[in-house]
Amino acid sequence: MTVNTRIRLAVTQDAALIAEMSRDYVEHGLGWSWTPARVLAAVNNRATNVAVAGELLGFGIMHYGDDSAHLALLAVRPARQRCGLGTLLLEWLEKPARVAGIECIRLEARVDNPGAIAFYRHQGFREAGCLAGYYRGTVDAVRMEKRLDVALHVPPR
Amino acid sequence: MSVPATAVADAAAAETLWLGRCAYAPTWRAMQRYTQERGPDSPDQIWLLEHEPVFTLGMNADASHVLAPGDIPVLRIDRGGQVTYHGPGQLVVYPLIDMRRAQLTVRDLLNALERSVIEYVARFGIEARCRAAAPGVYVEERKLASVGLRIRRGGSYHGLALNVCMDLAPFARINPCGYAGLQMTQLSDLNGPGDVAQVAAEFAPLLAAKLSR
Repeated sequence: MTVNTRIRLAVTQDAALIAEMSRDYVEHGLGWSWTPARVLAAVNNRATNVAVAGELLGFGIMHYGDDSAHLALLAVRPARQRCGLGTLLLEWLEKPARVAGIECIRLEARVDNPGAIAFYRHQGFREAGCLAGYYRGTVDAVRMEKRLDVALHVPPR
Repeated sequence: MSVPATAVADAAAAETLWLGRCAYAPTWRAMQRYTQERGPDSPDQIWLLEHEPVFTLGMNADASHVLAPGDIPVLRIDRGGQVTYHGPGQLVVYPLIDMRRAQLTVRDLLNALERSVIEYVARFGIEARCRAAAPGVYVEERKLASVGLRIRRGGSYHGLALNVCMDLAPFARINPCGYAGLQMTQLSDLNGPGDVAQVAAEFAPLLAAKLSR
């Protein structure tokens, strides 16, 4: 099932539902910063990809700079978790970063969400610092980073 | 490198230039310089050329994937992607695009490159496709074209390598794109054209049209 799930770019009509999913699955207890207007701005931003899995079973938002990318949001509906959808979304979002020679991907995760931190570790992210009170002064964040470049060493001759 | 060359297509948006046979390092420096020094009014350019033999390692490349380079030089460079081989008989396409002005994302540029190849080879009855997780263009399980880019100051460089009619043996000295045993193919083995300059002239307008929306 997951194997056949199609990933596509979000369109204007997806913004409201994506914002609701952020509020319910990511930002619970923190208020609502990813409002429909903010999601819509991301959909329309040429340096940002908003990816949607299937019939909005999950979504991810990644912003691409010249040298680094930032995963702003990634969520999969609780009933559809642990089937590889998050991996599929993340790989889809990572592909342009790899093609474009971007050196690393960064993200922040809630310290009170060990499941998310374990998921990102499994995806090759490593903890790169703690941000006290990052979410509305109430919840700490752990910053995580995934290097896409590899250590320089001389190739064998 | 001297850039003035014969224009192969009359594209309104991007200038397309056939540069012939080029050494790798000077071409690489020239496209870095073009991107570094370009201003808001500088034209977009698509460079089409073929390289002297070279292995290049992209930003994601593990040096252990260069198995036995032998006498072919190895260069670590600043494009995305893994290790690949360039050599005579392969068409190399470098789109130097002001991504913001053209309102293109990396994904758009990647799609334009891949789809131009797929459409072009379809003229010769070759059924090619791209893959969801890995960039490039494939015919069945064999790789026909590779893509790796770099964005600086909103401008793109590096690009596409399309195998036309070349010695594919050097690919066996590396794990192309990081995959052991990935087989490569080329147009001339698929009943397609075998002349790089001809392919360049036919391919350039297809890509230029996709980049000027």
